[in-house]
Amino acid sequence: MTTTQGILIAVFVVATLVGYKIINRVPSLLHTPLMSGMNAFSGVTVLGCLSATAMAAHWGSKVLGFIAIVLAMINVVSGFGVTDRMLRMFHSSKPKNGGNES
Amino acid sequence: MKLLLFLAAQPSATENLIYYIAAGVLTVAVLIGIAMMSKVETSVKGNLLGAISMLLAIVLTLWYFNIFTVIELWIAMLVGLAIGITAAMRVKMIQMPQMVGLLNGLGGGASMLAGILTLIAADPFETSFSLITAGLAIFVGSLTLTGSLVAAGKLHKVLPQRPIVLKGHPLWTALSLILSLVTVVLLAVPYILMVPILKTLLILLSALLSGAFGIIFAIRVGGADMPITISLLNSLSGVAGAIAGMAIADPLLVAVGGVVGASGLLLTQIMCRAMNRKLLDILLGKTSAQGKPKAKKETVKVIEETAVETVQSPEMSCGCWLRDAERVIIVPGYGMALSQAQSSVKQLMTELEADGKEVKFAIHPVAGRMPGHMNVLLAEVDIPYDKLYEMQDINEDFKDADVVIVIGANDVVNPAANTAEGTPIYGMPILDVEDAKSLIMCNYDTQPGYAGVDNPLYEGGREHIALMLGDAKETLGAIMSSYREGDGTDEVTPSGEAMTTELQSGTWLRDAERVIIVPGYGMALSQAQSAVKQLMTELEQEGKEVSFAIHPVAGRMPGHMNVLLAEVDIPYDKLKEMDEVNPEFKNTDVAIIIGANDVINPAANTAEGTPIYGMPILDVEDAKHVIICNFDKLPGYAGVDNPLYEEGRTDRIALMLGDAKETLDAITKAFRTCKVQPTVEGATASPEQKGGRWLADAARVIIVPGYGMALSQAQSTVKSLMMELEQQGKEVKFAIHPVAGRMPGHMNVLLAEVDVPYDKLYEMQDINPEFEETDVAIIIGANDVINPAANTAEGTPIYGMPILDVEDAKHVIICNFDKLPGYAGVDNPLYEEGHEDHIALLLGDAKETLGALIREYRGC
Repeated sequence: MTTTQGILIAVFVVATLVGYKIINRVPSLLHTPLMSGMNAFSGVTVLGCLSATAMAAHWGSKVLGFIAIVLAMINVVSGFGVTDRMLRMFHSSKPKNGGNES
Repeated sequence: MKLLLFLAAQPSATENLIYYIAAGVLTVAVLIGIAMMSKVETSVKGNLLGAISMLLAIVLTLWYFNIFTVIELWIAMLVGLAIGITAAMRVKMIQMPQMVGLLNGLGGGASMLAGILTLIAADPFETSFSLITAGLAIFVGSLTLTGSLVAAGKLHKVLPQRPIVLKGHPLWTALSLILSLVTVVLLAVPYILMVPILKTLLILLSALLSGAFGIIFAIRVGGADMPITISLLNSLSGVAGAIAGMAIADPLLVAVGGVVGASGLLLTQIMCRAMNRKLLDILLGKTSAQGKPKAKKETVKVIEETAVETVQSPEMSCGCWLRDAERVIIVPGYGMALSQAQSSVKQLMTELEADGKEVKFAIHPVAGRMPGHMNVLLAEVDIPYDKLYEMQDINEDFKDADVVIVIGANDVVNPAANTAEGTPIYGMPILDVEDAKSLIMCNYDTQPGYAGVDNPLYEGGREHIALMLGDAKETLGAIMSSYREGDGTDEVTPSGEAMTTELQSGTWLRDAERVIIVPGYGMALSQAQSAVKQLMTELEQEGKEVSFAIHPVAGRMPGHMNVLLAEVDIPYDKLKEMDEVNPEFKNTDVAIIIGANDVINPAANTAEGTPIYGMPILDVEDAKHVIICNFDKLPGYAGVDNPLYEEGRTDRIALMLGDAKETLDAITKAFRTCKVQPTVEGATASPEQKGGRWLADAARVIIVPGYGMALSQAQSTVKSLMMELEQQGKEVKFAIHPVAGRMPGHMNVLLAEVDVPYDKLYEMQDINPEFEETDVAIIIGANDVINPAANTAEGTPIYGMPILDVEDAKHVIICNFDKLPGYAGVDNPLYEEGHEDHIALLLGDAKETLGALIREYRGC
């Protein structure tokens, strides 16, 4: 195992632990937006698709890469968009919040 | 690293450094964004921060690999962007679970493709770490894709909601899992990768097999287990990204993917805990729908105790069932012979028949210790033999029977004979007592019968079964006395019950101070959120405290109910989590269940051996009154009957069956009518009541606002009065006096603020002639401008001032703070007594008096 691989695995473990810790604090009230937000983040794979597609040697790979980028982008954009829409719906009764549509 | 970079220009050391630092910063930004999502106030910004980090990450990647100019990347991103934005804007809130599922799938699909691309470009002698991770990315990505598609299809009702179980399902699961893992391993063997065709074939095979595994795993998950599945797939989509990141050595991908994986895993855990399920059970397809009877000695013993506790008193329910029954079948067994209970049986029969009920006896060929044993015993006590039916003649009748009473029979009614392969009674024909609406078992104990096979009928949690343990003669006696007791009260209850369920609910709500609403998936199905909101608003107007109890797994995804309620603008601080709200039920006057079932099923506390046993539930039973708005009385997803649905509890529980939107409307209406009832009985009608009645009869209404409306900020109440009047087809206009208020056009501004269309606002000269044809004029905090003294009281400051001729209207409702004269100091003759049939004076704060007026109006 090279250093890079070691680092990668370490990054994975640390990110998982830290993420677990942070997400534990999210109240169940916001579980759906949390999930759809995480969903958007899972589209992070677009980064990999971008570099892989740019360097693809065959046209077949290019096509696959193209599809991958489209899928991942839908995931990212829709995920954040939907999350935003949902979060804006949550209002408290205490301070009168301006009317948000949707 | 070199795997990808061998084609590109090698980035310099500084570029590398910048890249890693930037990646670290972005990871931290993502984590901060997620941390901000733990509070509602900051969550929108947190989400935005996440989105911006993602954008920067894309830019960073493009820069680092120096691929800013590759045009197809931009095209692909724009296409994705366009589709993504459209989808996000178009999707309806009700479709959110399937949307989340679908998006999970897309992320997984992209990761799968990333893995494939990496492998295609890979040098056969690449480190096995890269090859294996790339293969794993294909595996996890592909199964996430297909699994999510299946889940989304189920949620969207394109696929059947119930679990689909294939023949040999576990085998297929194992086979597809093992084979796809084998391909992943093979993909890391350099010599195979050297043959291009073999490599392509293997990649394809691995994607297909993993996809098949995803499908096989997802199709056997049913509706209510969806929150768990969706969370799990969410986790997997992150894991897929992280693994793909390892394959291409991208730390940012690994970090973010890891966080997503952790979040999904956490949610999965929370959901499992909330449903009392083990993750592995769900993965292995032990769906909660197939609660299969356990046949363990130890559990049976515990049931004896709990069963007695649950059905607080079985005799009572027996009595109730029998009273309501029309057709009764009695199944005697050897136990009747043992306890010599024949005469009690005869007596019960006579009493039942005296009340016009049909009684039959079902005789199993081997009941007792000799052929025809039962016939003899029953004949002994003079039961006519034409009431005794043989098995084949009566088995069909059980499903139409209201009550079946089993007396000391065991093996001959044991349903295990149909299912428990390998046991001595397997295949034995039995009496299908289980088919009856209610079943009373008068057996000595819950020990298995002669054949030694446990009887599933003894298990707790089946609320149509009452277990009367002990000597048959005694238990039969108890049943009869309970039956008679009920008979006596029978005459009383109908008058009480003549009140419909709605009215009863209405009365409860009227008398309540604290109300808790428990929403469930049924609310989502019937889209009853706005009806819920309406009920809440009306209850709160009456000063009642309303909160919502949210079970963690209510609905089809974590937090489903919160989203739906937020959609109709219910403030989130009214939504309470289970742990927080459970102790409050005790002090609650009314709990309203809307389409929730398993999550409030008290059987979860007691019915050992059922799938929901041990699952934490909302203790709605503790509330003084419970209103249940469910579609039907069928058990929920877990298939365990809900004791709350049982009859005989109408004093505490009101069952409103049918579409939740309709039943809720009925309750709201009943609440409105109940509200006014007590006051109507008062000797003389209050001014509010008069006003309400006038309004109800009116066709044309003119509202005259004045400075008092501004002072009490009653505009929005005015608006809602207007809306309600217009809904009933009444014409509403506003009369604006030029000097009403404290500045020119003051009233117009205030009314525009609450969105009253300006074409309803009329100036004095335009509207003055119309008062004559007006049924009701409502004055809100106006004084001098409507003071008729201006026409007559010579010498006063207002003499000669043009006024609004409200007096000409058939009825006048005056909502002023007091009877004192206005600014000009001239007494208003409208305030004088003696006009009660023409003028109603509602003194006090305008917002409150208007509120009272609206309520009275609704009541009329």
